[in-house]
Amino acid sequence: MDYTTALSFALPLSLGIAAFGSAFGLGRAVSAAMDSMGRQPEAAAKIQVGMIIGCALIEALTIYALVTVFVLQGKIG
Amino acid sequence: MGLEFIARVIRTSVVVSLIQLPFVALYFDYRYSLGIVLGCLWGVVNLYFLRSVIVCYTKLSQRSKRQLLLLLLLKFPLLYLVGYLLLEWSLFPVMSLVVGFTLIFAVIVLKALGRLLLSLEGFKMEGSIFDSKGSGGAG
Repeated sequence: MDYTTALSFALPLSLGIAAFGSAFGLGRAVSAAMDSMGRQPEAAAKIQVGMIIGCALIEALTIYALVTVFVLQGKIG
Repeated sequence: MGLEFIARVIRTSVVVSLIQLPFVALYFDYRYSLGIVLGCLWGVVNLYFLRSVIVCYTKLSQRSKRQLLLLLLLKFPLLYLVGYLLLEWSLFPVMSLVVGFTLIFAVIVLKALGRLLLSLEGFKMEGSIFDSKGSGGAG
């Protein structure tokens, strides 16, 4: 098996793992933030900002994975 | 730390990306500097839509449901299509787009670090604009 075949297998798999991890992380983060906002409505603004920044960071990791896949895609065939 | 923190991060990121524009264009390559600006703008718009979606969702009413749907349509298919086209057309180096996209996170980390350091007692100086009497509005 040469490296292009290995890349063809690895790229979609890695993107799928990244998307799964991001979805899992986003789900947990938003769920915990909503729970906290429900418990402490007076702290909702602070929790919201933390949630937005956390969501942006989690989303960025998937975008990095996507960009890496795009770059490596050019090396196949 | 309220929602104005996000607005401040967005403003700072745009300013930093514009400041680097002439320098990187002069010393490196103009396509690289434009790529950084475009990557940063993409990240800024992404963060803005993310903030709008979350704020709209947490204040959900009948009127904001349509707004939420519009924001979701703008963020997910349209913004990601623009990102896909930027990568696919290869007009700008991919690394410059990634650097521009990372800039906003660097700004977030540095602003948060600045706030943390300013909140520590050892960093407060007598008569400083950052002391408890005059908050100075930094960060």
